[in-house]
Amino acid sequence: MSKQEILSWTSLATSVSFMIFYLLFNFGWPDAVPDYSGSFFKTFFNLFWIAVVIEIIVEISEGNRKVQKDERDFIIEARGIKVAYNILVIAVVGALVQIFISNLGYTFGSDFPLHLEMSTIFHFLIIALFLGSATRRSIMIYHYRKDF
Amino acid sequence: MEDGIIANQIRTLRFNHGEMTQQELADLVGVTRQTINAIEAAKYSPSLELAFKIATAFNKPIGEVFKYKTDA
Repeated sequence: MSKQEILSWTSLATSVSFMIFYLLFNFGWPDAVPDYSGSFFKTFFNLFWIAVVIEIIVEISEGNRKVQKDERDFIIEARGIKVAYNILVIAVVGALVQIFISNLGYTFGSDFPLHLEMSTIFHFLIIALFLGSATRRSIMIYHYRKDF
Repeated sequence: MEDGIIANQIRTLRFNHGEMTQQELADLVGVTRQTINAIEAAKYSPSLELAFKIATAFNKPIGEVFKYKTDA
């Protein structure tokens, strides 16, 4: 496994961990599901630190290699970035449309059905950011595994 | 024109050059070992520049190292 592939795995783990932490801290555990939030949090906390330790080890052991990244890594990264960029563009356009609709809600009164709070739109954008990052790394791992 | 694959003689040439390892070739042309492995297995088509570098490493013309093969 190349250094860039290992870093893709660790980055995916940290992105997913951050997304889970963000969701748990802001929205809490869903009421309909038995409360496993403690063990859930602990699992992703451990996953996050394992990913950080692996990144440090890889950086130390592979840091003196002559070639860290080559044309194949750049092409694979570009494919991941393209998909992540599309996700972010869709999220930003969706947020802008929602802000416009919410402003209509202020004009027509609070009973407007599609009205959303600004904080909800903010959470949506942050989650889209984590989702974009996780998707980018997933696409990269797919191409590395496919032996592109 | 039908799509084909870029076949190569890298594995043979490596062994003819004192059983050169993938890592040694990778260091010589400035890529990772995994990229050489992917090129050898015809799963990744190198850039023209990299193809020339690999051919130069073996002192061969590029046409002897890489060949474009179609079913037709």
